[in-house]
Amino acid sequence: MQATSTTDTFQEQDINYDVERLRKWLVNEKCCNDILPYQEELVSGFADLCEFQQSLVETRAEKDELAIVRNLKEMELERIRYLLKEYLRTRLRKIENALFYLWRDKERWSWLSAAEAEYAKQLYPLITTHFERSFLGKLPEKLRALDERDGDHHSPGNLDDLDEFVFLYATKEMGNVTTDPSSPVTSTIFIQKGEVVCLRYSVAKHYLLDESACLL
Amino acid sequence: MYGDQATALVHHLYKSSSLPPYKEDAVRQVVQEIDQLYAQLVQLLEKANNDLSDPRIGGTAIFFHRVILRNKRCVLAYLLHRFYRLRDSRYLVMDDRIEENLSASEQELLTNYEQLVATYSDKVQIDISSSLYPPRALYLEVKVLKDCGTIMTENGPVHLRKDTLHYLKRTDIELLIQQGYLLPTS
Amino acid sequence: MKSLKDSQRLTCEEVEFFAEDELIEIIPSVKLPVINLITGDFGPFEVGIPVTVPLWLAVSLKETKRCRILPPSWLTEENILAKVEEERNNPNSGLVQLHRHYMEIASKLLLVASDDLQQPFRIRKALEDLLDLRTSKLRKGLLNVRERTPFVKINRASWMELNSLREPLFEVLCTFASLDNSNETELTSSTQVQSQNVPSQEAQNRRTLRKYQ
Repeated sequence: MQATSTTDTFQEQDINYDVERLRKWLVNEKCCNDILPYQEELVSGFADLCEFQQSLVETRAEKDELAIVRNLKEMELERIRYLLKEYLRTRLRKIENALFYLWRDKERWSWLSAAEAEYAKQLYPLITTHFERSFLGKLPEKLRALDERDGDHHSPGNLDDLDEFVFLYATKEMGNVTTDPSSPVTSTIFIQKGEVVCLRYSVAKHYLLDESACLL
Repeated sequence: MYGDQATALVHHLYKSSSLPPYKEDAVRQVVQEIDQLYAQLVQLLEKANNDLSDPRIGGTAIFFHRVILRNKRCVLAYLLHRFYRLRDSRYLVMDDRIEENLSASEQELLTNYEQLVATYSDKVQIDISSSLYPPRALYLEVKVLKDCGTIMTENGPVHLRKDTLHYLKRTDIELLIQQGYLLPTS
Repeated sequence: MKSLKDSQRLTCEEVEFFAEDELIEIIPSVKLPVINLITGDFGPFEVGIPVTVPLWLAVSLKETKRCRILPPSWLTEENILAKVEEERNNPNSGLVQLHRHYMEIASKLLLVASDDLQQPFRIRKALEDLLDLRTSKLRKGLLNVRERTPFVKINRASWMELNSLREPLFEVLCTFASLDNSNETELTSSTQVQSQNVPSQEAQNRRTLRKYQ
């Protein structure tokens, strides 16, 4: 996958690889239904960096920085801000989709940032109040509960399929991976560094968390 | 048949790709059906003296119960998915008609929701309602679709009159594009 | 249910956007100081001296006629035709190794820097052939999935190719998986019925209906 990149012929560059990590976590979030651990350091780090760079651009503009240099800096700021914002937006969207399940799931709840947890807590009554105003409040009193757990009733919304297929890219050699834990016949594959495999999210999850792989 | 109204609600939304008008009447009819089922169910159990040993009574009662749950489930799914569409519509060029399609309760929900997103943006100090698409060039050419007065840019004021073309910084006009005042030419 | 904007999915525009972060060499035609970006420092830019920058930056300079772009070594008619041959001669093996953003980089350069490419028209033609071959290979691979399978290796596909393969492939895999699952559930539920206690059904109904009493 990494392919015949000609990077090796380039002179040494002082590259901030965290930009790539931010992008990686954005893509991880985009490519699965689950909500992954919040990348606090990356987000706050880049938010600070962007603010700092913005203030540099603004103060230098008054002096003699070339317009083209300034434009390029602003373009890069826009690019990084997009990654940041899209990362946060993608997560909020998933939180909204899983709202009625999330608070019951201790592990996932612990993966939210403080601001996200607060967001979920405040969104919950907004939606349930809307349900009551529009529908539940008009039902016989004993039927007004949002969440009836007997029979085949579910909470509203769905925790989207967490066992969907994903494209996994091995950033390290992953070795033998059991690909179908639910099947009575064990099937394993050897995954080398740089390979792309389409498999179940439940299998991929572990490797995403220890960063030996990412989604594409 | 029992449950048809509620199923139709979900289908109605599923078939449409945007946000169709809220079906107040249909929701009311489902509420009526539930009321009716509920009354029948209570009556049935009373008559049987709450004795469920007769499988015909037990079976009928459970059937009514299941239809009630199914009706509830459908209406809640309808409401929730309308909310998702409403949320998604915030990221599109705003269509005035969408507002007309909302119920009063949805209007209120939308107002509160926008407030909530704003609070979140404040807290993380990143405005998540802008930069909705991968940035391309810093500047872009736009056509003015509706008069929108004069805006301030770093190169001074720009008057945006209908049917004129302008080359402007994307961040200065993103909101106007979203609101349908300006249209990118490429 | 379909969303208006399925922002949770990776779009082609995003993959294209990511490709613009790939590094590329340019030959500046103006002198510029080192540019301190968040991603890193680029430059100094001296007239005629090659320097490495992200593609988006190269494109901006090129669009304002401040540089020439040195195309990556694989982006020549000859090299792409060699890949076409390789792809054609191995119809039953996997894809040939290319840059993970080969199409996006090539399209961008053909668009803004065709004067820096040798025979851009022929390059475009060769690229189209290459893409056709690869797309039909991937499609053939898709048709080869004929039973439930827990994984598929897809090596050497570019990111854009993966992204367009995503929906059809996942759909096929899920369909086979669900066909299999429905068999399983049928088996288990029939065994359950045998072992189930009949009197417990009444107790269960009683519990379920309690709130109506």
